[in-house]
Amino acid sequence: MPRESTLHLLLYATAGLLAVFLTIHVALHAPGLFYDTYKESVQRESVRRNYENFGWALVALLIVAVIHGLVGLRGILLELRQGPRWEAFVNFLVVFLGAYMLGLGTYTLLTWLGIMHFGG
Amino acid sequence: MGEKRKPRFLENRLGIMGNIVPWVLMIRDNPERVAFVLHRLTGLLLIIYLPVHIFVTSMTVNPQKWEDFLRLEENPLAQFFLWILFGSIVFHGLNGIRLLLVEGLGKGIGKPEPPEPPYKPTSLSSAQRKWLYAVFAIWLIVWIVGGIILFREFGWV
Amino acid sequence: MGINANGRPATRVVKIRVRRYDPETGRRWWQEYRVEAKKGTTVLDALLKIKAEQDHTLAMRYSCRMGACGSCGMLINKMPRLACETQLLELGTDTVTIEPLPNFPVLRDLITDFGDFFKKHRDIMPYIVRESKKENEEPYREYYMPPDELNKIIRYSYCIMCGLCYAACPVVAIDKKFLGPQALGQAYRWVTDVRDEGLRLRLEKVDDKHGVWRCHFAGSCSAACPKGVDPAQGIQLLRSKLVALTAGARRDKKPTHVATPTTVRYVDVGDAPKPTVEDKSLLVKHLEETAQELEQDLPYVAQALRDYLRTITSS
Ligand code: SF4
Ligand code: FES
Repeated sequence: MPRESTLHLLLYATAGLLAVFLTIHVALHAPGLFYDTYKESVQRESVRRNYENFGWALVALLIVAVIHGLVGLRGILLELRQGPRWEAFVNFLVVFLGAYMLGLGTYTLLTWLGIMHFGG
Repeated sequence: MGEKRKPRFLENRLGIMGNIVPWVLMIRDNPERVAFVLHRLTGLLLIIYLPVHIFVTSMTVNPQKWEDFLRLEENPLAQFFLWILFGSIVFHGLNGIRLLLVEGLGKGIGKPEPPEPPYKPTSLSSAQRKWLYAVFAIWLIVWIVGGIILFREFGWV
Repeated sequence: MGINANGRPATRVVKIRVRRYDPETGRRWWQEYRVEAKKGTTVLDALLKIKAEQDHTLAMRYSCRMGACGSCGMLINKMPRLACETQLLELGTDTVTIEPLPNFPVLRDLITDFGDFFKKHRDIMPYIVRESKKENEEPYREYYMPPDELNKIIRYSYCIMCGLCYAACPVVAIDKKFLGPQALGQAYRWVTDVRDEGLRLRLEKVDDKHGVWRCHFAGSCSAACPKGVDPAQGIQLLRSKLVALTAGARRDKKPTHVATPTTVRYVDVGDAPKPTVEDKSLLVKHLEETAQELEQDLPYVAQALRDYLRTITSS
């Protein structure tokens, strides 16, 4: 595990980025801005267009959100209980969750890119 | 002579109750504490939601699964959750900007001047407090307006 | 019973509910007392009165009775306060509940154990740390610091270690290893001190899993502090300093006008002047000047000095 100050510098840096990225992400689904309704914004056609247009931006959002969320979660869990075994478990959990989310998110994007590539 | 028992001392930590039950501890003039609790609750909700969200997003690659999921979103409970989620994001984000300034940059908490009686804490009466009220106000407005727009689309109002 | 200027009775009987604890049996219970309170009666006065007249088994800790020693912190009407600085009638409730300070182990009744709290304070090294080993181990002269530098830390030096902030903190309430507002506030006080060079050493405790990052600016510590120490402010300043350091900012330069024993060592300060008392004319001159200076603000002192002057000149 990196030093605590490094982790928290990451927490603050990703917080700043999220303030921008997440606003755009939410606005994309807000009725009346990019799509007329929320329902339209989650149609498969719209999802496809999103991945096509900002695929890698979405991965950036994914990474930033995962880092921010997990550093935050780790802090909350470390405050909940103390002791070396709990701390080891928390660190493991955070790394595991991070790997899961990053893996699954990247898989989704690659699949979409693949579909586009093969004319889906 | 009665036998003396070994004295036992009482661990008197307030625990989570001291955080969320308002009448365990009543600190006056301290809206920052309310913001702290809300920030934590919304943060927890969001980090629990994030893996779920990523999982759900992965279902878009399969047309059939995605249709099933969209049908799930017709459920009023799911629609209500969407609104709670929106409120959480807005509060966590707005308060997060304030915390970024206060914690990360040390802004809005005044200067460490020599204290004068009646010993009012500078950090609780400086700009940060005004930002906090702004956060609460903007959050409630955005959340309610967003709710109206959202629920109108869902046909609730 | 007399009547106040505002038409209210000058004294009032207040019901006092005390949360008691007996370490031998482990029993914990609420006990009620009635105490007559008048303007100025503090919670500590009331407790002492109960102890003297009604129940001598009631245990509490106090010392100075004037908000200077920090012994009498209690949870009064669910707010951590100093019992000697809280007036019964100012609380404005007919029943006053008194409990031991939370987040500290209870020894008996209202007495709590400050062992952990003091240990955490010691952990952040609340003293001047110099880089030179010799200076640390054989200090032989005081360090000088300019007044504007003193003003930056004096607020934190007012801490009386009463533990009210520690009792109010929502994070201390769940994380028993968290250093807490008092220790972290003091950590800021020492790393900001221009005479100090111990930042790196203190980081070991401060930049830890249970150090400064566990603070989330709930601000309750500052709201509870009876001395205006404002630990929340200190912690945020400490943290932003750490953030800047981690992000690669240059370590802030110490002002060069801090005189340390090492720098003073090379200055020939000469022998100490002869005791002025032996040279009577100097003393007389000094006393006269001081009396003149004090004439305006402290006439009594000036008068006393003149009297003293008269006795030594006449002898
Ligand atoms: S910072 Fe204030 S409340 Fe905390 S121990 Fe010091 S004087 Fe007491
Ligand atoms: S008795 Fe010393 S502070 Fe209250």
